[in-house]
Amino acid sequence: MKAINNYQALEKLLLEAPPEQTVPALLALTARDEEQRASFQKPVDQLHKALLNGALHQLTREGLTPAHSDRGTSPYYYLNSNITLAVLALGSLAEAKRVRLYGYQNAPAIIKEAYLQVLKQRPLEWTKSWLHEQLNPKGALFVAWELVDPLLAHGVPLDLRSERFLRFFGDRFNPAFPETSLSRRLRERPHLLEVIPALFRAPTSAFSQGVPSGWEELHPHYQIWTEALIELTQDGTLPRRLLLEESLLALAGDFPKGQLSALLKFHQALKPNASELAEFEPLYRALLASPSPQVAAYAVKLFDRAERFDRLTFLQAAHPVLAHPTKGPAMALLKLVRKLSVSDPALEQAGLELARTATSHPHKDVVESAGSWLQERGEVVQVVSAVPVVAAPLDELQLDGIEPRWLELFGFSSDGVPGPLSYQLSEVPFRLTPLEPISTLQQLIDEVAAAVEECRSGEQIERILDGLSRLSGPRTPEFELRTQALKKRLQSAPVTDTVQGLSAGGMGISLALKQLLLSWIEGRDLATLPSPHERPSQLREFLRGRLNELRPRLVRGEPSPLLAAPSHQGGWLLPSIFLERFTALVQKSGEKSLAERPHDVIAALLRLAPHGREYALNRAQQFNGEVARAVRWALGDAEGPQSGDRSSALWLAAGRVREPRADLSAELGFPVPNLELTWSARRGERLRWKGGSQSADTASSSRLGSMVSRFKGIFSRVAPPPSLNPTEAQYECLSQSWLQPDLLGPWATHWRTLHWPQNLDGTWQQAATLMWDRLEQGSALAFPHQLFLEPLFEPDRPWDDLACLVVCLALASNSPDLRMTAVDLMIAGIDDGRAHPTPLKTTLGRAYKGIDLKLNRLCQALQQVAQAGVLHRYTVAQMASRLASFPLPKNGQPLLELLLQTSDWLEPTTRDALAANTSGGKTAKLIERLMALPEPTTDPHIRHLMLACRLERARAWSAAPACARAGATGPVRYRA
Amino acid sequence: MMTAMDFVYRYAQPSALRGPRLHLVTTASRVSDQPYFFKGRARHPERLAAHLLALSQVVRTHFFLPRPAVLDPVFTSSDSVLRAEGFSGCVGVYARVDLSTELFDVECRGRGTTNVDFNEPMRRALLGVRREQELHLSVGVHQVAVETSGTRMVEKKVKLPLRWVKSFSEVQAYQPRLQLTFELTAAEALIFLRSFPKVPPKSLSYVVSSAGGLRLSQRPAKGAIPLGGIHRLAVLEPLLRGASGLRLWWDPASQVSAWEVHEPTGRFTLLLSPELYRGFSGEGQQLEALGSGSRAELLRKVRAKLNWDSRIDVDHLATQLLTAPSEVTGALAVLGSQGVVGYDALERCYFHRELPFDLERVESLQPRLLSARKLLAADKVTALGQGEFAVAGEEVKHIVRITGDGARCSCPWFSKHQGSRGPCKHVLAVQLYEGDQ
Repeated sequence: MKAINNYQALEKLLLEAPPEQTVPALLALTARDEEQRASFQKPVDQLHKALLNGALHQLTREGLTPAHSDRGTSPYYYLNSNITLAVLALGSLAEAKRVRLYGYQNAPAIIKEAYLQVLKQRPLEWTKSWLHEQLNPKGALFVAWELVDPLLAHGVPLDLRSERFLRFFGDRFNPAFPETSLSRRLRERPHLLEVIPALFRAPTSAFSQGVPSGWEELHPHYQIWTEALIELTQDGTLPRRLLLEESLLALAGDFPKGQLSALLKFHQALKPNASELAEFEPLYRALLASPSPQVAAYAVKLFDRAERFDRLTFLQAAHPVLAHPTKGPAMALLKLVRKLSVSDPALEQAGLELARTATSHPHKDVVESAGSWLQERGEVVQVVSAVPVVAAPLDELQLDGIEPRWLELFGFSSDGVPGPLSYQLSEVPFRLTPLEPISTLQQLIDEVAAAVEECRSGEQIERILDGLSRLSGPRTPEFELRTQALKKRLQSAPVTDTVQGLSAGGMGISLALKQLLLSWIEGRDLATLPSPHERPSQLREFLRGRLNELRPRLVRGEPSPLLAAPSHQGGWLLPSIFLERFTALVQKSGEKSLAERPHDVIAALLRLAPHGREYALNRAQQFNGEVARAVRWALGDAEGPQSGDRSSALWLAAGRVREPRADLSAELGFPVPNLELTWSARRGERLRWKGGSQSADTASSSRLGSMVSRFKGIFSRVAPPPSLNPTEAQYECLSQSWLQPDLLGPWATHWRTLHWPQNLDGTWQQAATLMWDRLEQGSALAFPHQLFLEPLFEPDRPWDDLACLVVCLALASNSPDLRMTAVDLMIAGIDDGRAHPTPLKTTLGRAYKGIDLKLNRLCQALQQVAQAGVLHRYTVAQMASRLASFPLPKNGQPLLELLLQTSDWLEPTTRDALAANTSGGKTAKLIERLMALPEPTTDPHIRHLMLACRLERARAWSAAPACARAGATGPVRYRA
Repeated sequence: MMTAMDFVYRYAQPSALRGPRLHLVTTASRVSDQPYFFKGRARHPERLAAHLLALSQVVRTHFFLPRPAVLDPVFTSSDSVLRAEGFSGCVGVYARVDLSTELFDVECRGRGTTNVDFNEPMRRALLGVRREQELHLSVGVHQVAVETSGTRMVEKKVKLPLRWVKSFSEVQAYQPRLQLTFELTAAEALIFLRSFPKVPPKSLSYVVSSAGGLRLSQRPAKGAIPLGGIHRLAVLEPLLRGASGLRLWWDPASQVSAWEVHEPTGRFTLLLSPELYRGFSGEGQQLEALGSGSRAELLRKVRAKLNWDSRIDVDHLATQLLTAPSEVTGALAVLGSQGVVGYDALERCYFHRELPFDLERVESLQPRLLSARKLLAADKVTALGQGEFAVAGEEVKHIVRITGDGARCSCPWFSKHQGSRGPCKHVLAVQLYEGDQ
């Protein structure tokens, strides 16, 4: 082969030749002197950079010969290995460190050998630095032991005691298919034997490796680390004492619990004898303070059987065992304490101290066990219990001034435990919290600038849209000066993060919002077309429609009211305030201007609160035209749509405002999609918990708005276009996908809950679907599902079955953000009476039947709810009882423990289910204790507490201002 | 820009627990001439060990990134208190141990501040300390002869992150503003800590009052204390097992919280930055004080009066210096930013403690202040009238408005943080400009 004398020749070889040609050429180059090699460094680095940033991909489709693909390996693979070899042989250290040896394990022998040879040609320190980077635990480890081993033998001075190496050593030295046993390979490498003690101080999975069943027959050489090391102690290769000591020191360390558990198994396999136990007594004592309950429990059991241990010292050091929230170690300790105290009265004081500490343990069993022993010793026990069992003194309920209809609704006039609160928002003067609008242009600029960096709520967006609409005006030099920085930020922010703020609007609504802001600043209409990558979404189309209506006005600098801006939190718009804006708009721009903003009108209608509609209706009588008539119909007027009316979308929205869940086909004169059925048809068999069967003749088309599409031809001219049908859009299925970040991020999620506050069914169904999809996944900033729960925190919003489903799913979620928010919600809901045990337990039972809810997590969350008060404990007991009426799964102990902690009696169905359980062991003991609970009784405290919770609402509604009532004719403003 | 300074910890030998003697080895800087900085027999050895272990846990942990932290804490010995302070590697957690010298049978007590070697073998040894064990604490350069056999010099060359050094000055700004918000027994505190989820939430949590103690919530509420990075509190759990109780302090302005475990043997205080990813170094609390050139003479006088007092009496000092107590307090705040004094929230007073770092360079460690000075020097600040200023950036002008509620700027940094992390460089430039005018 011709020698390579210049880079061009080398490049041609690297890009076109197979490894059989490139490897010898590179090896020949590495044998040259430094000066000759140095001339290749920079261009080789550049070539490698081009490889990594994808610039060379085109070559793999065009450049390489068919012979390469005949080899059965992708052309890109050869290109990759050629250039990788080149940079290892000739490139700079900095560039070489960027190498990742993907596919090394399956590489042909010639390439593996070539890697080794080029690295050996480098100075030892160079290779050491390179290896150190390859062993970086931050990324995946692609370097293999078969490369590292010969390099170490070659003399590369890698620090074998560094955490990086130890982690690699522990994780990779023992492959799944070894040629020889692990112990033998260690014996052949004395330099690695010296490192074994350090292995115990590194975070490694070595001791966690297990042997899958059946492997002993298939792979006779395979040994786990524990077996290998013990074998090496038996023949004296490794000192046994060393392993005992190192493993004990490691067990007292701060490793993750999984690693501690594995180390414990190793130490137990060493089977320390009595003299070894005595020698290492202080180290065993230190295990009592281990963060792992398993290790602490082991130490307790050891002290039980180690006769030569100093008992008194042990008891005095055992307090940390009681810090574990699980009851196992604590119960074992208390049992030992009792035993020791009986056998040696000198130990009693120390034991009593432990028992006193144990009375503050979170587990009821530990508290009871410690408490009962202390009481036997004549002590008065003050128990700090984690679960309240005694109700606070009950005051006389003061019912003066409360309207009789609320007393009736809230169950004051009936006996027994009150039923769930059942009302529609349109029937009650529910409380609202006003939103303060933006008042000045400077304030608007500041709020936009803040939202560009971080935006977490839909209300923030609505306030900004409202401010833009009202406060935009002619552009002045001062305005340009004040918005300079904002403009630059919007234009130059990277399009990477659509989660945090509005600056990075890459697609969909995010992009539309960004373009809206730039249009406002620059005075140019920066409309954009939808991206071809967007998944179809009615909701997006509707929101984009709102922004498209607003943008031209901003460009022209024409201030006008934004009809749809909420006046109160939760997306609500007071009819009186809507009428003010409506009047101002018509007076300024005429009634035809309403036709230019259909999205704004529809969005406003859907936000109308039930408060003061009659008053607003009276004010609306002065207006003419179709829009005005639709507004009046929405507010309760008798006159509905007429045959000459043009906008079916407007009338559909108006009808939904009158009756959020009614079938409007008759009034509207065209088939109106049954919202729930449409959703059910799209979701198919999932979430059948509602119990209804799916109609066979529902549309099978997956296109959104499928019900409407069935009526093409005759009815398509009257059916509302999808982009103007936001009520149906609420039910659309947004799968969590990178193609929908503009609809699933924080502000977008919260914004969803504001579009139709009167009917959140679609939002709940979407929430339930998304929560179920991510039930086992942790929290993610991109999917803040806890924001779906915001409406349920409104003090008067009732919890229907869909809402209860969402809460139950959230309680069982693996996302701590969602789960803890659900706990907050349950506590607040029980506090104010909206969260009632009956619908909660019914819904939970139905969900549990169809969805695999993790009992452990769910029970932990419910436990936290139970701790908040007596009523909370009662509610959780009901829910737990319902769950326990199903056949108990294998991991059902947390549920039984929760039931024991919270229940004072047992439901018959639960009793029957538990009686049929044939499990043994701990489960049987728990069931036995549960079966000893009495039959249910009516607790007057519970009735009293429930009524007391409802009292505040009853008073507030009784005192509601006149305009808050549906039939009010009073003044304009409502202040909660 | 320099992000770390070379610093060498030089110790005659490593700190160690040998038999009944715990010897914490110091560097030689700023220590009295006595061989020992402090020497005494601990009356409650197990608790002393627990405090030191908790402190060591903080200084060896980076709570935000999986990175080791290897920075030694700082000890201060004064007339009646032995203190140890340190930061986590992420500088989002400040830990301080306050031990009354009454808890020791004191043999020797010097005055001063020094670094102290904390190492892994010492830490492991502390794990085994028992209640009835004899434990003599000696903090100093030299060791008694019987224990010097087989020891070796310890020299730790570190790149001391500037943010770690800066944080010592930053935390002094928060502590005077801390308000006592909740007080719990040890049992209630333990129940609260044990109720935390194993995987912390990504969004901010809030500490709220609940039946029987405290509860963690995900929603803001009146009186709720925001808490990010809840797993940082796990350090307190071992201490609580033998403590009297927990006090929770809070600064509403900055959202910084302080968690004080107290017991007869001493106090362990953990100051947490508002969120996990925020270290104290970037909080900018001291920038305005550093930028101001006033009070130089008073600072000099106040500093000259300090004598390692564990409680600086502001009124007495004001009388001595013939000035108002508020002026002395202001000067102490600036001295705090220079690492000369610390603040004790419980005692509501400053204490003298001179950090063993060259903090006269603190201003050089504050990039925002440096940038502000550059803007001013390049005449980039223009007054627009009515409390508004234009500060020219690279391509655009940023508008700074000085109002009764404080200063605001149109730059992206201010828009994101809304003043919660101190002033931006543009606001600082305007303040310097106004000072010059």
